[in-house]
Amino acid sequence: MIKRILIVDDSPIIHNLLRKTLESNGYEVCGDAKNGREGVDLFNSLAPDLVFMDITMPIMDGIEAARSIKGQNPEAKIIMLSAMGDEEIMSQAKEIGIDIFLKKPFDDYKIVSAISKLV
Amino acid sequence: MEDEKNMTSEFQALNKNFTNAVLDVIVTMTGMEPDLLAEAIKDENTGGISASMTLVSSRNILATLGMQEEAARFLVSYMTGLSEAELTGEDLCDGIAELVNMICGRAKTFLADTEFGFKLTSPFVIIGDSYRIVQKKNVVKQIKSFHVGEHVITWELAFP
Repeated sequence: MIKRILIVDDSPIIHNLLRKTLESNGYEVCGDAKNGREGVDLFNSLAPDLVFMDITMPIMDGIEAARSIKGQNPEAKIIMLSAMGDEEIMSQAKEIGIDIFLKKPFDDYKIVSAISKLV
Repeated sequence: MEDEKNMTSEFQALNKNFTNAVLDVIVTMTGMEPDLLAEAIKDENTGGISASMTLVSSRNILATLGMQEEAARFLVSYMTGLSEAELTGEDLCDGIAELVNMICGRAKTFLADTEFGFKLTSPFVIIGDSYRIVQKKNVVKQIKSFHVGEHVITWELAFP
């Protein structure tokens, strides 16, 4: 069964990049959200197998959105994707139970390896 | 404004790490290896598209990635797999802002265990045909130029 992935990022370029990588590796992008609030809503309505979540976003950031998703769905699989390698953010992510924290820049191999560890 | 020979060792260390970050991010995101030019092409950082971020530490540094629109179109096309013709102005701004964000994030990782730690602000983009970024006074400015394909991109650090 094709794994369904939700992308949550405020950058259209990152959506395009991830979509290209995911689709060419046999995954389905089931939803695109441009902030954390939309991400939480789409997670609830689409029940994806995995979420790619940016951190710095308007309206609701990725940490808050991930906390909300994991709070209601502890089994949810979330890969956090960010250019910022702040220790503080990474320790918050760990505390929430984020499965994998990937630093940008990323290539196809890094993305596909991370997914295959989770789904 | 000071030139490279007058740079402090602090700025030299930062400059080296940021140059490596530019090379690393461009090759990872586009698959193309930038060629660092021996001499910076200082006029290239005017007009076109520039994306900047402030690195916040005891001394705030302005980091800027600048290029002409054709270069931005070329890079973002390689990043996304979309054709150059398909890309909108918004795509170009977003793509160049993402690149500067990744470059600064990468340099932050390189410098994480050193005395040069910093926090990052959100990137902002300046577009237009005839702008010039001017620092007011006593600013050490270092510009590096790179060839990517047929295009030139510039990386600038302005250090008060």
